[in-house]
Amino acid sequence: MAELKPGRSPEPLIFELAKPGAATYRVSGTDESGRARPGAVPSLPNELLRADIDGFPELAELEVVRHFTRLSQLNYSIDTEMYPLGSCTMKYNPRVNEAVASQPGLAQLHPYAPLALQQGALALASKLEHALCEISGLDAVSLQPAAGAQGELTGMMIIRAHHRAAGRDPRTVLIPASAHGTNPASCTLAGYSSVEIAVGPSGVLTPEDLAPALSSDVAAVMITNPNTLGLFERHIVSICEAVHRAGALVYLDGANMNAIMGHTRPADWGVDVMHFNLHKTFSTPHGGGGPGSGPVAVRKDLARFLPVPVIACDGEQFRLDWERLDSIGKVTSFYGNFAMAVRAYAYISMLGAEGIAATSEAAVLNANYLQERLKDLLHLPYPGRCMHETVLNDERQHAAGIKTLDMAKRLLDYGFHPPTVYFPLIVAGAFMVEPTESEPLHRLDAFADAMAAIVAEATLDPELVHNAPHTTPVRRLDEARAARKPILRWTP
Amino acid sequence: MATYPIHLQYSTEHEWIAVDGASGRVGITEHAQAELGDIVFVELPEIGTTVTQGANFGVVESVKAVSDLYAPASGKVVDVNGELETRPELVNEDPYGKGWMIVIALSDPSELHALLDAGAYTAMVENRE
Amino acid sequence: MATFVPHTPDDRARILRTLRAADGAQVLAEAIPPELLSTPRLDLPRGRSEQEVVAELADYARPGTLVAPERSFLGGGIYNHYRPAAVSALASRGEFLTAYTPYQPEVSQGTLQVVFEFQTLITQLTGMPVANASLYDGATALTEAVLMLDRAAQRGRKTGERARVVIARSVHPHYRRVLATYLKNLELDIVEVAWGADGRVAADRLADVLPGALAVAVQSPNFFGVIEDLDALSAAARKAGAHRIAVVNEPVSLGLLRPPGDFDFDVVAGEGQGFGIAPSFGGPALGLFATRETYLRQCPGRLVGQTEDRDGKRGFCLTLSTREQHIRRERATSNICTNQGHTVLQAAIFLTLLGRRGLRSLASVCAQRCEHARDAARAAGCELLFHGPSFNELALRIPGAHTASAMANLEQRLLAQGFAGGIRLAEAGYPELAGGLLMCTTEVNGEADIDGLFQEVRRWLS
Repeated sequence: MAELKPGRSPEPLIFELAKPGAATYRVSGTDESGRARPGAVPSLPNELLRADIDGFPELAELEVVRHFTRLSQLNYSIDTEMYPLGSCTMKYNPRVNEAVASQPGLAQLHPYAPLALQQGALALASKLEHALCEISGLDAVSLQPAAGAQGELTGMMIIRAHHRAAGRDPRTVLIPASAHGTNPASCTLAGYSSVEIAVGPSGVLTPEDLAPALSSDVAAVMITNPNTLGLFERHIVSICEAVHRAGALVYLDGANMNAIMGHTRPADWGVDVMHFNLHKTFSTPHGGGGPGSGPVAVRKDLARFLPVPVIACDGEQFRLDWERLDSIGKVTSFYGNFAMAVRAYAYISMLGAEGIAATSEAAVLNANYLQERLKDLLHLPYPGRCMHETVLNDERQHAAGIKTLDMAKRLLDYGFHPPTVYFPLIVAGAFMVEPTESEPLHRLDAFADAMAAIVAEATLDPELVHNAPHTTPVRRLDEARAARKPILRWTP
Repeated sequence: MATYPIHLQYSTEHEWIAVDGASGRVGITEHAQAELGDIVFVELPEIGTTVTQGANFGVVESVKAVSDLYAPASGKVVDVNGELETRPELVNEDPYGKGWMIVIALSDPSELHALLDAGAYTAMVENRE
Repeated sequence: MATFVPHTPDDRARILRTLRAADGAQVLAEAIPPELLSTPRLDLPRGRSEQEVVAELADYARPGTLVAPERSFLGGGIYNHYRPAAVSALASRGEFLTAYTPYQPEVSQGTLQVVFEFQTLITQLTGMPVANASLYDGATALTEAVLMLDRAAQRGRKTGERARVVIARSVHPHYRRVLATYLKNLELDIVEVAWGADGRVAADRLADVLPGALAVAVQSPNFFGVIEDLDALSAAARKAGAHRIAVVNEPVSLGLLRPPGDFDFDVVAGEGQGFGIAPSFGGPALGLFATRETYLRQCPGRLVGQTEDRDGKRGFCLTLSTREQHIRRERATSNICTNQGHTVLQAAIFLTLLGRRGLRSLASVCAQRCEHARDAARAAGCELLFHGPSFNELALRIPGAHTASAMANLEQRLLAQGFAGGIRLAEAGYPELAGGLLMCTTEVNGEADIDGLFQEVRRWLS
């Protein structure tokens, strides 16, 4: 007998849905049963050929379409609701980005295509490089790094090449506690050891915080500005001066560029190298965890170390220049995540100079608005104007036994994705909110209202909050079990 | 309420040692396991490894944290709790019993004077809270 | 000015009132030191409408359409396979496209289950027990494989002692270059091993460099399309105590050829672009990474695991996260934060749609077209550089095209007829193969297209 299926039922795995023998997708060049024509691959010896692929699925096209459509419905996304994740800049991803990136002349363009075919792609990439130079004030850009973390690594490799070219090889990188989480791992991969610099009660770094650690073994200082507390590093100019006096370079983690574009420029502070996150600031979609894109920008005298190839223009014709003796080498298979560059360029072109500045201003206004609305509900450890994000915590809820995680999970019941939680590490129980400029005021209000309701529940009915979420496709998962006895694939 | 048995000695890094003659059995305290939450993996040295008081001898992981383990005394590792490989949760369930980690043949028993007794350790933990 | 700021004038006024500020400039001036706010207006064009921007981008796209897909014979790590309509239709759903990393599993089961299915598909295809949620691309997957094996071996090594990695020169030139870039700053050296007359790794030269090596990396089919004798290579490396990495550049080959997992490899590092992902001038691509269970906790990148929720319902979550940069910081197994979520999705849909028979048929058709190309090349008087068994790529030498200028001339001639005939090997990193052309065939290239290409070659020759 058929069962009633209220609400969402779990979606089986494709391997469980598979129907061996089902009429599946027909590949070109096959007969009506989907088999390659007889006589295929006559010269390949049998010992090179595999038997059947054990367990591989077999489903009719409609079943495939339904499966992935149903799975998509189990996701939260920007297209359905606000995503207030601090440091992630979950802004609207304009649909036109997808349209332009999927044009055949760009999507089908092969990286080894004859130069004549590459002209449009190289012109576009070169224009994006120019825009990123203009926004940062720096002089040269490589679009090759595939993500922010790889941008950091590329930047650190450039810094190491710079010192080596000068006949030195200092091996320490200083990282303020308010910088991004990836920084230490990127340093290690470049052969550096990282030292964390504690930040004082103001939440911003001072030259005095840095001074004791600024030895001759320091290669660079990695700074995130605005920092992960959402505060602008107001001593940035004197910090850069002190770092340069010590013979080191300043690396800027540009993850938070959405706060400052068109208002203040990293090069004017004294930054030598930085990376951008096209998937944050420049509206390329996050895609459920990537692909991102992390272009690196440098000062003029560091341009010779950029990864190969670089885009060159001989008068009318663009080409890829591989003959760069001082280059650090190569960091991705081809020229980086080009399709992301296409999207970012389309976005920048639509905004234009004024639109870019207006975007950052609105991002800062939205964050400060939410800070005002939330600061009476949650504890705000660093009061004052924030930039594009604000960091609060659960100190006031401790008495009721409610933690940040509980409130974050309860937000899911109100239909909101939680903010970034427990980061930055310098704020215990951190609750880091970044609304971005594209969120309408009524959604900011609805989010603040939901938080007010949850804070009230924390006192009146802490168990309700503690056991949240109650309405999601699955409830809190046993992550300890997943890690103790990992099951990472389906087996028959 | 966490308990700290009086027959054990404690390090400020939250390891305990139960000295029995020339050797000592080592684990982490109830406070430490509670702070870490659900422990999912314990990485221990091989038998025969030499460990030094205050130096790292292994790693304990919970779902979202990873902590170094520090030897409360110096010496050679003569036994390792292999059961933790498949049942790391024993550290949560029974930190002073089935959740033990290694046994050290002590090379310098005089080092033990630097450790805390149960009272001093309890005071340290309560002060922090 | 077009922006995506949705506020009405009233909204804006209400925000400013709440902030007790006269305007946005005042708010910025309260947060940023005024002397830093004096930046002049950005020297960029004014904002334009969507329609104007689309028109500009159409101009940039036009040169790329000079060669129709069926007349392009370019491979070398990026393959021109037909993308079924369902792949782009499903992958462009906003619920997938605009979702963040699935850190909140309760509302990310869609992404998480897709990755779990992808991991399973990759284990089935490679014959390895563990696959991760993907890395950036083939080059970084190879690099991460070397770094992982080095990490695992480091315990028994003194600090400062350098390790050596042997890599076949027939591994993609860019992959070798990326590996070299990463290793420059670490305690690892690279030794290359040449190919023999058949285009496969030369067994005698391999034997010379194997002793004491940490690992050996070979690619099959290799850059010249030649299928390596993975069995023999693996056995030789195992005997010398070296770890074994298999690079797979054209993932569709796994539908037909015996997988590295059959031959006792430690890691399969590969490029998954061939699974329904658009070439996009080389990126985004899809780094495949599969390994043994022994290396699970040394593995780079994200992993999705199966578990249960509070009600006992099956669910999926990111797991073994303590390996990763945000927790283990400077001692993380890699600095990678992302996976290639959206290309993972496309590959998962593509593989599911084609299924068991479809993938095998696709691989067979590609190999069949390559057979046809081989015959057509010979008939046109071209010489095959290597005679080892090949999958869907061939390294050719065209009579009369031994110099760079002759090759460029041939390329121009073919282009004028709408063909991209192949990759010039000398310019792709093999100066020793001057005059060599790497030609790739997939199901997109019909036999008539292949014949048409060689007809042009003949005309050029006469």
